[in-house]
Formats: sequence, structure tokens, C-alpha cells
Amino acid sequence: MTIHSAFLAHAARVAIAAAGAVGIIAAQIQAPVTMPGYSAAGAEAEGRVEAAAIALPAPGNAGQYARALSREPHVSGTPAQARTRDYVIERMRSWGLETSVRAYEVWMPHPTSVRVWRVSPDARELQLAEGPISADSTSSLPEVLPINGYGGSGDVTGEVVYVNYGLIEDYATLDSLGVSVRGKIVLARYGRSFRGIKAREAERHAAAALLIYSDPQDDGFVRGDVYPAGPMRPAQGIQRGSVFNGAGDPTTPGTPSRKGAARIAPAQAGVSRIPVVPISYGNATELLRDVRGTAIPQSWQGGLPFRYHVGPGPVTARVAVATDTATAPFKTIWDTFGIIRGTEFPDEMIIIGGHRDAWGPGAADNVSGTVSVLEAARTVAELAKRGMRPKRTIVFATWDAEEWGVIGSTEYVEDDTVRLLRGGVAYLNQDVAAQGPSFGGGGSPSLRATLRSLARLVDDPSGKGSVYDVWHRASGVSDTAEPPMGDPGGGSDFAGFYNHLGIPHADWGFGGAGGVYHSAYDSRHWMETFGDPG
Amino acid sequence: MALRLANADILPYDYVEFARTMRRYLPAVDQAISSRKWQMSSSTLSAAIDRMARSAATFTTTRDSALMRTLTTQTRTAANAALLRVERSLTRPEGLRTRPWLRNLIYAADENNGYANIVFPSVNEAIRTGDTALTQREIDDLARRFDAASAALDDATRILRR
Repeated sequence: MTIHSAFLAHAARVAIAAAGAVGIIAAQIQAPVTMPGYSAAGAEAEGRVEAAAIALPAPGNAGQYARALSREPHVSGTPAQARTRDYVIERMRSWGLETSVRAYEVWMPHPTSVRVWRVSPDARELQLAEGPISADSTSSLPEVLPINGYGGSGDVTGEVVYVNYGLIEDYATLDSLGVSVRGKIVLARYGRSFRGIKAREAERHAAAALLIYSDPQDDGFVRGDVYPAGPMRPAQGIQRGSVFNGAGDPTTPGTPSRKGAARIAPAQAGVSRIPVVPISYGNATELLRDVRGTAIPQSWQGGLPFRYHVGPGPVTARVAVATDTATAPFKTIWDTFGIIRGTEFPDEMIIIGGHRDAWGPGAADNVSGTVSVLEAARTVAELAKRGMRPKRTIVFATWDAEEWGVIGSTEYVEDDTVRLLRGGVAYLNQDVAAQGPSFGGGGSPSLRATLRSLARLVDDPSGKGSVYDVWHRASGVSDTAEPPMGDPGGGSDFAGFYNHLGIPHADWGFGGAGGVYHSAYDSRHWMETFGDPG
Repeated sequence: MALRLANADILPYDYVEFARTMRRYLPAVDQAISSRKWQMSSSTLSAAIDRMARSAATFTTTRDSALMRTLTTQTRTAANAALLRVERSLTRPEGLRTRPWLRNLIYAADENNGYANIVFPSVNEAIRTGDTALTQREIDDLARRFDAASAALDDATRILRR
């Protein structure tokens, strides 16, 4: 099968600069009247550099790196992450970049066993596995456990209570309904809040354990056909993910997790004490279908084909999570760097980065971002060989352990704070660079104009004008208004750069509908079929 | 994006758009204050954002005309160093009262939600606590930081006028 990775190549074009699209000859490109921050001669030279840059990202290369990096699950703290580290470093070295690796020792217990039973009625163990799908080769590899990173451990049994999204206001509603979750097994649906907030609120209300499931109304059959017939989440699909609300290694707040670093006790680190387990809507059906008791407010009904009830009970469940906290809680993580030194302002740095860890094969999240960083690095290295070395230093980074709480990028930022504060010009984040046709961007308002101007200069993969034109039309704003862009609140690797240090940040990518987020089916096959079919 | 930023003579940050964007966040602050019937206003903050808008406009004009001349590397380095201070000025070392690691005072994740964002988090979290004195202190603190950002822009302007 020919792999085009069209959206990915376009994301890489925006990443490096992009003065036009492949196949358009120079004479057809409308030279921009002004290029903010450039002299007339500088703008002309930059136009030539960008025109050369745009011709370099190649869909074939992107496909090759994407295949290599999504061939197996690569969870942070496992041997597979040493392999992605070596692959990225080897590629960057082969293009002539200066490379380095930073290792950090992170307190990151991994679950070793995760089990859930319905105790009554009809006692049975739930099958917490997504399982193989024949067309999807990586789905038959050993599957990553259903992990909510930094959830607690234990073995608890209790009546089931359905808490809607598990928001602060949902618990207020439960109070007004006279329902307590104390000692209960709480069942919450994903959505409307970060899962760490769901864990915090469940624990605050003294629940015994929390189960979080993907309701079909959120990203399952209510939204579209499910995988493998369509892109949405199938009944057995599980969304893994961290429930840690902070940034970085929980035991080294504000300081890098170098070997031998001073640490606070895990009990003081703000991680969950109760077991937290992600389950599928197939699993949730087996618990929720027979829950009765208090009636739900109408808005709490989800997409499963029966009436939901709050409970408590009569269904009871048992949740048992064991971890390696006592035996091997520390894991080594690796950030990788490829560096092209600037000719005129070498101490000023543009850092472009994406996380290299995943919850499965991670084709969209975040092989696509890693590949965008790789293609940008190859392009800039090639330009340097042709005498077009950048004036400022460009750093191409891949971060480990983003999925556990933006850990790799945070530890790096805490390690290099002084240098970053002095010379950090911008951080450009590539998290899910391509998993569909719809362009979107965000970041500090100081960089939005630059991002828009580059989106104007790249042809959209649809052939219906520039990336900007298609983005503008899809946003539905008036001709004179700009498409809205996202504000950088947190949740990805820009947090250390932007929210901690105030370094201007921008991010962008091509998105689309999907239900394989943090699933074993975020795979090359899903991408080739639905996300980025080329 | 990386090359456009890497090769600019003067860093192409758009602080006119930045200040305009900040301005749009003020009505919600005023609304939150008036709905609590507090005898206070965001006028110090509003005035500081206006000053930043003026500093940014002046800087942009100065930058564009300076780029018609030949600028020494030293001048460009000095102007860029001043520009790097603009958004750094909108952070504070002690961070947010709720989350000290978060030093940026423009955007943060909402601590009650995690996905939703909160703008001017130091101010809007103070409003949530219901503490008027704290809210006034946070408004004044943020206004001072906007003035520091404006001062950095003014420094860049002065350097390019030399």
C-alpha cells in the first residue's frame, strides 16, 4: 500500500515555514507585501529559503517514519521507549544534526494487574481488553493494560453509583438527590473535564474506586460507525490516560528529576489514593444496565440503549489494581534533542517538540507529532547543507512521559530554566499533528498572526485553496474576522515553556472525528483508513 | 513557522493583536465584579492594557521603519532581548495562589475542570474566592505586570530609534 501521509506532510510544511505548495512554480506565488520583522532584502532571502523548505517535506518519508514508530505500543517507562529514542536519534544524526539525550528518573508506578468484576447480580469478571481486529496488525500485539496513570492501588468492593461526568456540579446534584458515594464504586463517563478532576472529586467524596468509561454518545456509535467499519470507538474500546492533575514528576515539583534529586513523599505528591480504571462502554453496560435506585436528571442519560439510573446498587462491583509501587516505582525516561546552531543569534532558540510516548501504537497520538518534528528537522538540516543555515538556533525535541503528566518536557524546562528564560524565542508544540482534514491552531496571541500568514501560504490538501482559506470557511466567521484559535491552558508539552516560564507558544494540526484516543486502535491501520488516507 | 521565527531580523511577535485580545477579556471581569455588587473596578488593569496597546503600536511602526535602514547585529540583539522580556513580564515567580508552578498570568487550565481554560487566572480565581480585597490586589498586580510588558516594548522601541 502506498502511504501518502498527506496531512502529515502539510503539518510539516507549516512547521518549517512554507512559502508555497509543492507543484506551484515560483512565479505563481504572490510575494507577500511585507513580512513582519524582516527588512526588504531579508524578506526576499527568507522567501527563497521558505520556497526551498516547502519542496523538501516528502509524504513518503513521513510514511516511513510513521510506520517505524507505530509498529508497537510504546508506553513511557517500558523498553519500547528506548527503541523510539534510538530511532529518533539515529535519524537526526544521519541528517547531520547535533544530538543529545536527557535521562530523568521519574516516580511513575505502573499497574501490574487491573481487574474488575460484577459481584452481583450474576457474578462475573469483565473483559478489560480491546482485543485484536484482523485488518489491524498491531492490535494483535500484547495489549497495554487499561491504565489510568497515577491512579491508586487496592482491592475494593461496593455498590455502583453513576455520577454522570463526575464534575463538581454532578456531585452537588447527587447531594441534592440525597445520594452519597462514600464507600461506593463510582462510574463516571469521560468528557467535559480532565479525567484527573474526576479522580480528585471521586476521592474527595470518599468513593472506594472510580471507573471511567467512554460513553457511545461521546465518541462511539452515536457519533458514527465504529472501528473497523468507521473511525469511532467500538464497544470494547478503552481510553487510557493519566489522572495526575499536576505537571512533571509528582515527587519533584519545580525541580528536575535527575538521579539523586531531593524528593517529596508520594503521599504528599497529590496523586490518587483510590483505584481508578478506564473501561469500555461494553464493560460499562454490564454494570450500568441493572443499576436502579434514584432516577437520573434527564441530562445524565447517555447513548447506551437502556435507561440510566443513579443507584446506589443493587449492582455491586469489585475493583482490584496492583502496581509496582513497592518494587520498582522509578522509571527512566528519555527526552531527545536535535540541534541546528544559529549563525547570527546562536543563543536565541526556537524549540519545536512533540511527545514520543503513547498508550498504544499511538499513530495519531503522537507518532504524527513526532514525525512532523522529524520532517522539520530533516528539512532544516538539508537547508543548512545548502548554505541556508538559520540565524537562530532551532532545537527539535521529542519528549517522554507526556501521557503521564507532561513529565519529560517539564523536567527539561526545570533543568534548563536559566537558558530558556534568556534565549527562548518560541516553543512550537506538535501533539497530534495529523489525524483528519480540519486545520486548527492556537497559542499565545503574539504568535497567531505569524501562524495565520503561514497557513495562507500552504495549499490545503483538499485542493480548495490555502490551508487558511479552508480553515476560515470551516470556522464560519465573517470574511473580515479571523478563525478562532485555542488558548494555551495546559494539557500538553507547552505547559513548561508557556505556563511555567512565559515563553511564547504556538501549536497547530489537522484534526478530525475519531474514537481511538488512547486506545490500542490508534494505529497505522486506523490512520491509513480514516485519519490520513492520502 | 520555525524558519520564519529563526530568520527574522526583529522577532515578529504581534503585541498589537496580543493587547487587543487581552482587552476582550475585561468585560467578563467587570461583569463578575458587578454581579457580586462589589464597589471596585478593573480600571487599573484596563488602563494598563491600553498602555500596552499604545506601546505595541508605537513599537510596530518603529520596527517597520527601522527595518528600512541597516541595523547592526548588536542593535538587533538588544531589541530582540527586550522583546523576549514582554511575555516573561506577564508571569510572576510565586505563580498562582492555587498552583505556584503556574507562573503565567494570562491563561491557565481551570483548576475545577482541567480541560476548560481560565483567562487572567490570578484575578478570576480571586473573584471566585469572594474576597474583594484579594481581587483588588490581584487586579493591581496584573496591571503592574502589563506595565512591565509595556516597558519592555518601549525599550525595544528606544533601541531601534538609536
